[in-house]
Amino acid sequence: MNCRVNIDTYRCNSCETCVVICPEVFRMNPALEKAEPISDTATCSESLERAVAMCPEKCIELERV
Amino acid sequence: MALLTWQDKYSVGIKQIDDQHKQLINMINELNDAMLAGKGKEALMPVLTKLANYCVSHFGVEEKLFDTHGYPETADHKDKHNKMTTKVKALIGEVQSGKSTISIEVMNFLKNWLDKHIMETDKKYGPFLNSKGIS
Repeated sequence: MNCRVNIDTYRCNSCETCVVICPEVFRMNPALEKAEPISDTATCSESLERAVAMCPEKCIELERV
Repeated sequence: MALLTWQDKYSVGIKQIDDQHKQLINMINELNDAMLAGKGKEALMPVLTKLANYCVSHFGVEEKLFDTHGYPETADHKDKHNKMTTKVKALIGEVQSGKSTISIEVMNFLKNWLDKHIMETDKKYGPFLNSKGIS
């Protein structure tokens, strides 16, 4: 199953928690210094859901597609 | 639900030490629960303060056993303890300076402590101390 990954970059505090937990889906945007999904959709996985759950700002949303 | 639960594979064969290692698992779970609740930053200083106290008391118990019974790898083990204590102090400094990536960094440090230090370094002294009548 795939998910669309949405990040509210206004709320993202650049902590990199999502990048550490799920580097196959998230990366840091060097210009914005915010997290961003590597692609619009990603395979739903335990690490992806954990990254969403552990985000301190709760600014990542998954939409099943 | 707890991230980690105590398993026999973590045991070094000495009850007092195992009981202290269970405290480390409790700290990992405490931080994990706080991060899931979006309160990782608030939980950091309490966890790190516990960890700093834990280093003093737990490492002290282990090192006293090493010295008393002449554990041959005492010097190397004490060096690892010193490095871990230095790292904990550095993490406390980073929290105090407001570094925002710290929750997951501390979590990974604690999990690495469990996986590497307890499962590899600490496991070495279990049979030696058991042979000296410590269990």
